[in-house]
Amino acid sequence: MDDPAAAIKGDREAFARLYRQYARAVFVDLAARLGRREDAEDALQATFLAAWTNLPRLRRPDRFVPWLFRIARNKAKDQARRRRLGLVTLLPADVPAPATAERPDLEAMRALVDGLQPKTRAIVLLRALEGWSAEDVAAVHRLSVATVRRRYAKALEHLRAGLERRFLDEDDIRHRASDRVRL
Amino acid sequence: MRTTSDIELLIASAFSGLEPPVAVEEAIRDGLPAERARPPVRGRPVRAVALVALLAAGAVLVARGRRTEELADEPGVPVALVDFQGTEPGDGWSMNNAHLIEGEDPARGRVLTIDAKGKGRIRRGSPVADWGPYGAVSIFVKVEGNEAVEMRFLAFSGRAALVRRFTLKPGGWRELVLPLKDFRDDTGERVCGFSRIEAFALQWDKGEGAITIDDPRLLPGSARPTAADRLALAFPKGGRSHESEHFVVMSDVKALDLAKVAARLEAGLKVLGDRYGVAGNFEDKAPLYVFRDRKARDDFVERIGEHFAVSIGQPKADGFTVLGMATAFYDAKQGANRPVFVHEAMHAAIHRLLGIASNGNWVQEGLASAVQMQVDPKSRAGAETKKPPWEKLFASETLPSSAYVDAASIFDFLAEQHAAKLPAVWEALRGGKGALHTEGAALIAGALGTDAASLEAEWRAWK
Repeated sequence: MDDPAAAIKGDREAFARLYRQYARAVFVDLAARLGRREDAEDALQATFLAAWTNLPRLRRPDRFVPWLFRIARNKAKDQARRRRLGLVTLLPADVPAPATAERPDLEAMRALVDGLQPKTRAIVLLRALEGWSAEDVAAVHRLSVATVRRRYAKALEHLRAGLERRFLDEDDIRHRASDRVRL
Repeated sequence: MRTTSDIELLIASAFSGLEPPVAVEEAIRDGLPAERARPPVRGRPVRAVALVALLAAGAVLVARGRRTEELADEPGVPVALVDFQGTEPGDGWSMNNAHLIEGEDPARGRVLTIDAKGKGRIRRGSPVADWGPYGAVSIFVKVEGNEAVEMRFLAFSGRAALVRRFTLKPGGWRELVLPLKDFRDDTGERVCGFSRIEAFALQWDKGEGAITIDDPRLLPGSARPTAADRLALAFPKGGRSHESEHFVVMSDVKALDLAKVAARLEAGLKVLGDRYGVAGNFEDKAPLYVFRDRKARDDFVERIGEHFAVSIGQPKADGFTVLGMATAFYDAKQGANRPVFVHEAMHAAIHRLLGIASNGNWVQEGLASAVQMQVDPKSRAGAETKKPPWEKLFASETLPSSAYVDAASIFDFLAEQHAAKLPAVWEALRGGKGALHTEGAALIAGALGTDAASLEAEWRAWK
């Protein structure tokens, strides 16, 4: 018996394995939608508790993942209402980002991804961070595979252009400064 | 120039710290409740014996009966009709006599305010086609202004719509829940079910003022009334039901053999399919209510009008079918063999199979009469068509009962002379524009590759 089928029957260990398998992806999706880490944590907890409670009503265990993401989507909406949405970064100050001080390109990338529309942000993070295929993302977001591919490609192009514009600007400033020094 | 892989790598590195904390896993593990949702009951819908038990046991068991209807493959979670937090709330709507204002509400986030007057309407495509696995439409609403607003919610499929009317009083945020079981057909001749909904709309009927909405969604459940729901509305003092494959027969007449009635209805349906080519799946079982007398039936029709917030004229005939529900009353001499039972049940079947309302139009009356006379040749009582001119036959929206045999004759002619093209005929009638009494003949002729005058001449020459 696979884990969703076992969890439907009340196997808590199977449910724990499902959590370990999908919690990160759900969390990434929630964070992308909500824009705030603590909100994503609350919604993640609510999602898995609701999933456990309602699993007996899931008739098709093979549809567990899209079902889980639909619960997550509803919990994200509930959470967004409880706390007003704001434009904030996905990584809080108390979680050290990996060497961003030495990697301005990473810091710039985070700012650019934060600037994406929530749904696009979710697609980008599930694909680039979680390594999900376009088919898997399409299934949980109820989009066509072509739409996911198109949005992802467009978003990557936007990120690339944004990144290069940012560093071109900085290079340009540096060049001008050095010119002045030379002068 | 960075490659796509470079960008993906940068994203992965930038967000590598995005992990759910261990504390969440611990909180979930420790907080899993022992109480869980009840699994759906599999198998066929509630049977008659169970229904009697349900009714006897009262409301709690009726609620269980409803639960058995939640048999959809859809997971039992709500689905957004418009995701206000993920999109611009005002995008994608078409409007008549209404203005949309997007806004932010301190309590609810992104919301949409609609300023409209009587007959104003906003309409939007539905993200979900099959509403069958859902039990209700839910919308959070806030009403500014000084007067109550009478409105309706519509769900569209092709040229048909299902509708529910409601009144909103001025006031702050509240959840408006409209059970799909309480929706009815719109007043047009074309009707639909909940299995292929293309769009939905909010319409202002009376009153004006700004209404702010949020989070329109479908709640899990079932759009189809159960036999218990139907019995409760028709026979509040107690009734029996018998379900066959396509019909549910209900009555409070002890002497009536419900199984025998149902068997005759199934026989009629077979004729409708085999001879006239009207076949397919029902979204729900077609109900036939048999009351003890005319008054009890007429009282029920009045209650239907109140329940569905629609004005229904007093029935004039022994049989009466409205909103896909067939009604008649008992006659001790004829018992289960009463021909009107088959006639009315065929109206309910044609409603479901052809998407044509039973409002006395010639297609409904002609087909139902044709089937009735096949099942009960004696009910013809010697009546033969004199083949009146179609111009006279189709002079009004409602076919007079004296002309049923004429309209039935047209369908017998089609069955015997154009059987191969009957599916095209039914599709033309289902999807065609215009009223059936003015356009029906032309639609049929078009499907047969001819014109109405030629078809009428062919009918006259037949037999």
